[in-house]
Amino acid sequence: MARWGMVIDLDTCTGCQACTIACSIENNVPPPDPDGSDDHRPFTWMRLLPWIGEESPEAAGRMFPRPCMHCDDPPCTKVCPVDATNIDREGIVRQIYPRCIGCRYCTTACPYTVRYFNWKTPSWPEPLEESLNPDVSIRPAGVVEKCTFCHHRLQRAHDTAAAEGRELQEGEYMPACVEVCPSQSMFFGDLDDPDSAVSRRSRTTRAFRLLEELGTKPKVIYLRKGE
Amino acid sequence: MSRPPATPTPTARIAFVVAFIVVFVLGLFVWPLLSGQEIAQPLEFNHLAHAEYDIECVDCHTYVFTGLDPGLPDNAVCFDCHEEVIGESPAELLLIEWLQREEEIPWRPLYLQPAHVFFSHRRHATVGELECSVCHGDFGQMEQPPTSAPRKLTMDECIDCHAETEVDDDCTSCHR
Ligand code: SF4
Ligand code: SF4
Repeated sequence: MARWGMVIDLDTCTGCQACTIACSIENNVPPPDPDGSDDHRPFTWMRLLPWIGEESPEAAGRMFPRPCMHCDDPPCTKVCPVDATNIDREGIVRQIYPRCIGCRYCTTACPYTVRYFNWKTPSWPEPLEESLNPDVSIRPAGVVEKCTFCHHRLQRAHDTAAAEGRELQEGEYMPACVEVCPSQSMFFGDLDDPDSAVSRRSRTTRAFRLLEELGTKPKVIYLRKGE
Repeated sequence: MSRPPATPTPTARIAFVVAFIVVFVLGLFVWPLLSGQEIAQPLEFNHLAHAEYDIECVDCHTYVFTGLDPGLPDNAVCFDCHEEVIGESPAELLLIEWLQREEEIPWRPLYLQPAHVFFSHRRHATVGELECSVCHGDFGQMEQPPTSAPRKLTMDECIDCHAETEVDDDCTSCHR
């Protein structure tokens, strides 16, 4: 069984935010509306954080794509009183919206602040509501949501492979952000396969994980500036 | 001088309890029976007559082996066989009128999932090799279109079947 992970190369990422848009479209995350913006409520599952790496005068501004880290030891799942979030066999930390009671313990527990509470029923400006993704449910007000590594795509890929009586091939499953990245700064695959693109990159000296010292064992791995 | 609050007589108490029980029982058991919506189809489609010609479910519900939703037939599917009258039923004459008007027939689905449920027909019919009748009952024997789903499907039934057959019942397979 695979253990899915993502590698993001910060050296080649141009900060274009194509991943943010692709994610919102794929996962039915509504665009911010003016009221929500006033309340500081809008969110996107994939967010680019601005980051100034060095001291002036060599200061280099960078953008830092931040999805859910799909921690191997996630603090968020441990605090959920109703098992509405848990880690599946393939390492994806998923959210079961119909179970969630909206207590927001998990949003507090996540050290990466990638969990978002729906303060109100989502809405889309016309005609966007006509083009929602039928493979992903629309979350009601009162539940928490977050990046799922587009696991509906994984299910579809598994179903196709099963219907054709074969194993899942590498590259058949890929989240929307990875697929769209125009500078090809994102890689996705099985971290347990020593030959996969993500495995090989995760073993280089450029690789690091966010807040590694907390012991959350993130499966999103960043590559720092090359030599 | 204010009057002391009236205390209900024993008869009033009994009447209240009886009325409460009657309303409770009606609400719980009788109302759901009466409030079931009847779904009328635009045509009296006869499943049996089609099954007798060895027409399989998939011939009209085209996506049953490949999609989430098996689909209701569009006019082109009917037209393949009914370009001209081939039988003797009044329903067929009506069908041909619809086809000649080139207006899609508004078949009404009997099974609708809530928005947070994703049931894959491909997963069950192709991968699991389930017969349609396991969940839908014996549609092939029906001469009249049923006005409600012959079998009401609940999550309990899904879970029971998955437990019996030892198939995975991961939450996000259906809720995502
Ligand atoms: S990044 Fe946050 S939400 Fe994602 S698995 Fe880790 S703790 Fe949970
Ligand atoms: S908000 Fe929902 S997912 Fe998070 S801890 Fe509470 S019930 Fe669980």
